[in-house]
Amino acid sequence: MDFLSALHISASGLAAERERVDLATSNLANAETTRGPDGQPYRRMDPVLQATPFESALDSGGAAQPMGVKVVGVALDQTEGRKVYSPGHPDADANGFVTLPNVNPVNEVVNLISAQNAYEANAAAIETLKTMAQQAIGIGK
Amino acid sequence: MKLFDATLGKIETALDLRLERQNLLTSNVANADTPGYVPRDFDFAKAMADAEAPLAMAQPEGQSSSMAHAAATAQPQLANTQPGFDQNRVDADQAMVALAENGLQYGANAQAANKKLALLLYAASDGTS
Repeated sequence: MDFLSALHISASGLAAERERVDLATSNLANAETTRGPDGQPYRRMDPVLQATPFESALDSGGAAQPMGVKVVGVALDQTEGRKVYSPGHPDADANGFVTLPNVNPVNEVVNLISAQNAYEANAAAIETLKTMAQQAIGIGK
Repeated sequence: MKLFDATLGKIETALDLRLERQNLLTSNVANADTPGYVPRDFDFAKAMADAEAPLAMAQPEGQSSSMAHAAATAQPQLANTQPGFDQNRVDADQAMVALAENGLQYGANAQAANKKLALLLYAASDGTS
C-alpha cells in the first residue's frame, strides 16, 4: 500500500463520476428523442457502480481493504415514458399518441450536481494526498 | 539519553499507519455513490499501540506485520450514519473531514521527522549548521 494506490482509488472515483456526468448529459440531450437506434423512444441510462477491492495481491481479507469503484455496466431505466397526444407526429401510434422518453430533466440536473460534487471530493482527496507526498519527500531536507 | 533513540522508528510507524488510513478514507470518498457501500476506518491510536507491541517483542516481520494488523482491525463504520435510499452509508462531510484531518496529521508527523533529523544533523556538525 503506497501513495500511488490511494491516487488510483481517487482516479477510479473520478472516472466513475465522469461516467455519471456523461450519462446524465446524454439523458438531458435526449429528453425529447422519440426515436433511438432501435426505433423506440430513448430510455434514460444510469451507471451501475460497484466497489472493487484494490490490490488483491496484498489484501488482508475481509472488510478492511481499500476499495476502488468501477462502473460495471449501464442500466436502462424501464419505466414507461410519458404519452402525448400528437397525431401529426411521425412517431405517433395508431391512436395518435407519441411516447416521449422517460427522462425527467429535473432529476438529471440533480444527478449532474451530485456527480459534480462527488467529482470535486475525489479531486480534493488527490490534493490532500499530493500534499502528503510532498511532505514525505521533504523529510530530511 | 541516547542520540539515536526510538523516536524515528515511531514516527515511521505513525506515517505508515496514517498512509494506510488515508487509503481507506480515500476509498470511502471514491465509493460515495456506490449502492450498499459501508465506509471503513480504523482507530489510529489503537493501531499505533498494537504496532508498538510487536516492536518491543522484536518480531522478525516487524513492520509489515503491524501494517497488516492495522488493516485487519479496520472496521466498517456503521455508527452515526444514516443509509441513503441506495443503502450507501458514506457521509460526504464526515469523509472529507476525516481525509483532511488525517492528511494534516501526516504532515505533522513528517515535520516531527524533519525536526528529529535536523537535531541529529546539528549534533553531527558540532553545532555549526
